Amino acid sequence: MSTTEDKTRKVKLVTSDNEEFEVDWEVATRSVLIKHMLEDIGESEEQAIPLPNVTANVLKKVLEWCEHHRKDPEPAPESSDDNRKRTLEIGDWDAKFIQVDQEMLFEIILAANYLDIKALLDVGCKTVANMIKGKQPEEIRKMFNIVNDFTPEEEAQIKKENEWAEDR
Amino acid sequence: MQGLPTDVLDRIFKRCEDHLNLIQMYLPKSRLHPLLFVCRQWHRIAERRLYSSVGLGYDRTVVDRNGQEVRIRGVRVCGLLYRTVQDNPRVASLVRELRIYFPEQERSETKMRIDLIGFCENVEHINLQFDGCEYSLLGFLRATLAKVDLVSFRLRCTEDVDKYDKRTKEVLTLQGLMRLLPAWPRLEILHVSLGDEANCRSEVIEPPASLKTSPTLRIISISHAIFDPTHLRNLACAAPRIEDLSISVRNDCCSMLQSCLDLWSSTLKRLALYTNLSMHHSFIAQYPPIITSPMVELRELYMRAPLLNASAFAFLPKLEALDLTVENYSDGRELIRSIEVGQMPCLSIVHLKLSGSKLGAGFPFDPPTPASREDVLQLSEGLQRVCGARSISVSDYFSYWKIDSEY
Repeated sequence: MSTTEDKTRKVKLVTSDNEEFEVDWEVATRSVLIKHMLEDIGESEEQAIPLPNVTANVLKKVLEWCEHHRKDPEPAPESSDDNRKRTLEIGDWDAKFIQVDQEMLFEIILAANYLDIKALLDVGCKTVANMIKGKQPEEIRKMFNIVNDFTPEEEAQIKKENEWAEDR
Repeated sequence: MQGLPTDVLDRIFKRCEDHLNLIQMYLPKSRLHPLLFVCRQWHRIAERRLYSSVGLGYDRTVVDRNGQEVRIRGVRVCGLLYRTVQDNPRVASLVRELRIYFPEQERSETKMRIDLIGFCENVEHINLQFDGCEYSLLGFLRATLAKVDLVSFRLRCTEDVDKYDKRTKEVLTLQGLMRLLPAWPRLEILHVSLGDEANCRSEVIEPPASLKTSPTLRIISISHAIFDPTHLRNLACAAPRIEDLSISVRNDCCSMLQSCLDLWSSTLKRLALYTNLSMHHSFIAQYPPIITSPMVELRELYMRAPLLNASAFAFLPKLEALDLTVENYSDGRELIRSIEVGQMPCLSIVHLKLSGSKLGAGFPFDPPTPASREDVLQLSEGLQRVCGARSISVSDYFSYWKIDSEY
């Protein structure tokens, strides 16, 4: 539970390329990782939080998302049954926010995963899922520059085994 | 993309799965199919996801690459999966959830679907929509189900009276279901609609000789089947720690119900108990109360008087939602008095119905007689008053035609 004092507090974050960001506590703690680190270091406000897996240009983008969503309620815990009501819809602001090149998209996803920002990770995953939807394997490989490492025999075997799930 | 860790790719693939509505529950997750062929890393993740939860049985129409509509028969899909899991135990071992539609069909097709369950020996969750099968296959289905170690079992039998009357198709009975319970020591959730209201099917099964306990079984919803005292006793033996129970009981279950509720008094959080008492008014006055000790965890209660009477209200310290059908005005007045004296202090929602027997067969659709109108309005106003003072949300049928009568 955050206090009024927490909400006025500033937090320093240091990226892998040594850039320092000073942000509101409420913005920084959209990240569960940062929230836990802040809890660990207690009241020592001057201490910067190192984020060795995030570069400055990615953190800037992530913080833009956190700033916009600073008042959002905590996301509900994921249940094992959550596939029953799943959609690929993304809100208007988020859709515009995530219109970035593919490299940045994956960097945002990796950062959201590392920083434990579930809602941002979800926006990234939905975006990629929308890109994949309805595509053939070759189209997917081409889009993401993935090498086909199957032998023809393996491909034939996979085709035979999974024919039941094919939409044709 | 190849730099993304497995758990993130898995999360993306989860998003790629089809949105599951009632029909898609019984269809394969076909959107995962192309992902199997992208590369080895994607194959590993997509395969695990595809087979962890398998739905099949419904026919579906898809649009092929040339824009043509193609009909895919459920039975063909079952046949192809049958071949895969039969030939490849590794793949069969990946299946954790099976959702199968059993339409009315040829014997061989029904048997194939049952065999599929048998091949997937690691399955933990089964969801069947069942239109019935031949009597001999019903035993085979039961035997196959008894061999898998389930955590949840969901079954929806089609309610087709004509079909059952012709005795061409059989469905699982309550007795048959009760006999299966000891086979599933890890079972947590049982959601079943048996489609056999009067337990009149021809399947004859002896009660289990020894009753094993399933301490994990906590959620039970069984509809379209009526419990007799023996069923209830078996249920109490099999599931001593129920948290959520929804069943219908026969008229002669009161004393067994009382014992069962004593047993479940420390665990039960939600109870929905249905009866056909109103059809047998001569017995009603003789019914003893069934809640006679504190139900310390009970939050939601759906029941009718006289099974639930005024003496019970003192034993519901955490009750938040009450849906009560009363037989007469005095039962309703007892509820008002109980709330007034501070019983059920956590109550936040009350839904009160008055059984049609006191107001004419058509109630609440037909207006009450003039003689009953005054009593009903008094009841409604009394309830609104005590609940309003305690911020308890109220809905009752009486208010509707109170408004109606003002016009």
